[in-house]
Amino acid sequence: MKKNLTTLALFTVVILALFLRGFNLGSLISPYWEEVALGYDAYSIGQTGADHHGTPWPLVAFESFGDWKPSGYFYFAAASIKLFGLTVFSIRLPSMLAGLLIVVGMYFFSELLLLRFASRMPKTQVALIQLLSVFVTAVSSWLIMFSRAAWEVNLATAFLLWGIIFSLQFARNRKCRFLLISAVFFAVSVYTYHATRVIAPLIFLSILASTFFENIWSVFKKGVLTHIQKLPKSEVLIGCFFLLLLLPLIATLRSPEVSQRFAETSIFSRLDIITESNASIAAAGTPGARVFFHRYVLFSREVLTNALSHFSLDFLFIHGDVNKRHSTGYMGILYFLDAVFISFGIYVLVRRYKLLGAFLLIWLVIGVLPASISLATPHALRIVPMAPLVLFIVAIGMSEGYLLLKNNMKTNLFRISVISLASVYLLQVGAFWRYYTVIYPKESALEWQYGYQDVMTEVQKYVEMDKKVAVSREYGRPAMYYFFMNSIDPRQVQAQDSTEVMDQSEFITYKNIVFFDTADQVKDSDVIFASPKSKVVTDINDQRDMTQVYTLSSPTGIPLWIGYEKK
Amino acid sequence: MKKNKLTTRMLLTVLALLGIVVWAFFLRIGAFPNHPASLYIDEIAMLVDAKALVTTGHDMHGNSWLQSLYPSYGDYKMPVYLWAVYLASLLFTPSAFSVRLPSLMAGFGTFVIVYALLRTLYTNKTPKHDTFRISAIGAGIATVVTLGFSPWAIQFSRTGFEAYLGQFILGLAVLVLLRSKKRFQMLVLAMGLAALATYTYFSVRYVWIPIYLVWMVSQSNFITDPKAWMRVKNNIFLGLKLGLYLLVFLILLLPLFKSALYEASMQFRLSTPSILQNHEQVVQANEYRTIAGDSLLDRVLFHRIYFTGQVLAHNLSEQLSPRFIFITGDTNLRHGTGKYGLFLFPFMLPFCLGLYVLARKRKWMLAILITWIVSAALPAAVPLTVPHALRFLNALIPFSVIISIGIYEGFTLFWNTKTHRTVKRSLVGLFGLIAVFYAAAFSCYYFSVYPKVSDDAWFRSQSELATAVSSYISPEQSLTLLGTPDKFYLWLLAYGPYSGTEFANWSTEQYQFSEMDNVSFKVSEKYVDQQHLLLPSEEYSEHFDETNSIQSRVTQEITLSNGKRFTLLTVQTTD
Repeated sequence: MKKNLTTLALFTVVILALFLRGFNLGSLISPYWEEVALGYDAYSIGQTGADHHGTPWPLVAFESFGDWKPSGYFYFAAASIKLFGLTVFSIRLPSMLAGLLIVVGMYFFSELLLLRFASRMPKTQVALIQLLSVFVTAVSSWLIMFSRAAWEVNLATAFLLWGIIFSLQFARNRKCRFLLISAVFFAVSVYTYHATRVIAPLIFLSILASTFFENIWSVFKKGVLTHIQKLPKSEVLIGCFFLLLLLPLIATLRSPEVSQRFAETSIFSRLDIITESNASIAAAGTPGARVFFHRYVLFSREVLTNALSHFSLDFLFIHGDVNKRHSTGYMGILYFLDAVFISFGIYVLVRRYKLLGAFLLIWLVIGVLPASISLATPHALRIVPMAPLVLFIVAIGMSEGYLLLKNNMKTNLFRISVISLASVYLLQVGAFWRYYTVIYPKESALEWQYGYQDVMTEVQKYVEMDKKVAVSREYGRPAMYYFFMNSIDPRQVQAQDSTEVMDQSEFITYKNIVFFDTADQVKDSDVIFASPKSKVVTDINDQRDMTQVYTLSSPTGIPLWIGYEKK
Repeated sequence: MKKNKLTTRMLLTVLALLGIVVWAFFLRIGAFPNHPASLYIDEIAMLVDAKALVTTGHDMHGNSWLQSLYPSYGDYKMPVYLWAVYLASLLFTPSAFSVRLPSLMAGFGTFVIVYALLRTLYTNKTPKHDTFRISAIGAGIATVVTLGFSPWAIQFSRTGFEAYLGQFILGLAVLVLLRSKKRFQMLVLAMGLAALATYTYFSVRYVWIPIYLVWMVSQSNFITDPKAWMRVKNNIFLGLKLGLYLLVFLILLLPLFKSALYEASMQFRLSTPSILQNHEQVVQANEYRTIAGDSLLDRVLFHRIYFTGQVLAHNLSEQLSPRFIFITGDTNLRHGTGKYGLFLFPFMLPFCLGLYVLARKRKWMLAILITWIVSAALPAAVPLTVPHALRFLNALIPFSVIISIGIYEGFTLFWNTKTHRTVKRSLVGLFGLIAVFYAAAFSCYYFSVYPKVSDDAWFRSQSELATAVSSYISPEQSLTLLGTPDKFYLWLLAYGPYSGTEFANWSTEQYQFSEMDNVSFKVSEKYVDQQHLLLPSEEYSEHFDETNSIQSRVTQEITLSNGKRFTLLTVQTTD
């Protein structure tokens, strides 16, 4: 009876997760440029076996706008586009399914983790934590946000989580097939998102280290090689297989495919730190100053500052990420009540389950490291791979709170307390959902490049009339929107790749369309689409040789696009 | 041989500890009071009041020294710090030394408070099975290490901020409260000290009351005995008894509330930009409700109270952020260096350990300390400028206590271990090395780099200018000053040839001197021969050109440390 109830509860939660992630997936919020770029290259791969620049089957990264996106998501999106056509829904579907995989995965993850590192925990509590983990993940505003758009990080996190699940299963029964499956999941995760290139191998290593080296002290005493020599050959072969899977990535470590992203987003490119170091050393004039104010010391300060910013209360529970694509701003990346449960969960881990706490701490440090050495922190997107562990701690705190109330209160008072807390929690979820579905699409329309869909349909009408059309680049990447919204044949785009004008792999011209920045680029255009605030529009109004044929405003009434045609 | 080894080890330990004490002492005394380089505006105003108090027993406006609010220059200072400056000025003459001395003494006093609180926590009269013990030496070392190298404590013990003395007296009040064992005299003394602390720094009252309330609950058995709630008569009696003490506190504050300047001082304080004046949340709430359809649910979910609370919570989180407390500190260069936290980064680990230990072994004390910290953060979170190291000063002592506990417990846990002794002791050694590195780096920065980057924050150019022109202030010759910094008259009063007896005779506008003997801040309609005129060098040609009948002789060119140049002229009229 109890098992049936548990199954029913799980099923209900998964359905709830499906609803929260799938509701109006393709229409609630407009696609932003990265999604469109992902989608169109995925479409191109599905149609021609090459990206829109003509590069066949990129393995490590797709050139895209010159930002070299990891290849994983493209191939999954290609499959989705094959089934459902080139639509916003189909490019977001892999992320949505990944979100569901995370929800389901939490059930197995929490059980295996507790069996591995907290074997003393009573089975009833383990079952409770499993259920709570699934529930908390299903309703997590953090993960809902990232499951409802084409985010590579979400897909990578799903693979990471299942890689951990299978490696924990291997640790439990030492059956090689689980190690093999986990190696594949970790490898796919590496090819899906920048940060997991670092996170996945490190987490894989830490789980394996805890499996193979039961006694860390004996490793120091007898040596690592001695321990490896004792391992079964099949396990060593799988380790080599994992390295083999990573070989294409390792071989291109120094190429722009892999290194460019790091160079663009890393804090080590900041010159102000070096300037500060030099200035402090010069001002101090003491022998020790060269050590105290060395740029490495100052960079380490920045890394620490960035790392700690991800644990600020404002980021976690109050406002979330300042980037409105990553957070609504209505609440933090976690719910307010999660603050209480996390505090409780951490206390319990430190007090009673130190080994589990140590493993989670290692994952936490690994998870926050890529975000800490990047510009723009705190960053809700870059730390998504940490989300399962954070939500797991919330679930532990919830279960401990539940048991504390149960053991210290009379039945009626206990029931009232649990129902009240659950109601408050669900009210938070409801508040988030109300804001997300009603306010957020309108308030954050500009962050999601609202309007391109409509504008590009209009542009295509004039293109089909053989008119010369100019489209402003003010809102970013208009060429990709044109290709995507009008399902332009990738073969035609590939054919133009070497002849059209480009700006870092982004099309500036395409046949009789020019995607312009400055007014002199639109001199010969018959039709111009631009922002009402642009200089081009001011010039047009002054010259009076064009007629206004189109306007588009944001949902909150801000004029976004205006179209003019030559008289 | 073994005995010799022990003696050498003990000697080295004592030397190391002595080194720490001397180092911590030097961080406070070194170059005192000339580092920071000069007095900022509030300190200057205190110096002016001190000059007047020493010679006349009245403040610069002629009010008696015994007043609950000092007008100063229109910022309405609380009196206790000024009384301390008055006392120091009587002993050492009014100077930067006498202005900053009370803070220095409060700094040393804070060590004693933290030490005493640690000893109170780890009381000797604990049951045998209770492992929560600390020796006098252990408490002393933990206190010196925590407070001795805290940039927060160091900065404010070297400068004349009332808040630092206020937090010391508040700490004393809390210590007396915790040791009171509900005895009448001790509780009255605690209330008296809390009132004294409030007369030192305004926001103390918002901190003291929550601490007292939490302490009250901890002394009751409401939590341990659910039936205690049912004993109504007992509860009323207890409530009245303990409420009476709070009444004592409020009665002691009556002179403040009844002061003629109280309303004006509140208006002045509330004029600081804060979330209370911010109407953005109302606009936001209305906008969201309109978009959502303005149903009853929407009016609840998107109420302005939610958005105002969100801003307050944001400010609180900024005030309590680990980045602010352990890495960067306050970027206002009067409150910190902007490069080091309120406590050095390595102390983050002992802070976490201290929290954990208290959560396990002394939950009520943790509740009191957390209440202390949060209620210190709340007044600092209402203004828009966050985080703020000065307004948060009331939290110095509870933070220090928690970190000291973490240091002591961490050392005890790792050093006295029986398992993996070498590894664990090496970890302690490594932590110690990192802490020493950060302390050395901070010391180097604080004395070598910080003075060079913080001149403007400490109004150094005003002091330099006032010192340069003071010799030209005399009864025989008039001086006109044009283009000088805001409220420059305060620097003239502080550094000029004034005894303090003259101040009360001059007229003021909203407590700011509009005229002084032979000194003017306005352009003259008619210049007097041999009159001195000070103006920014770039404005010289504006006032004196070929068509002007007035000639002048350049008496002195003054170049300030911030690069600004002033010209001092002696006017020679042709007619």
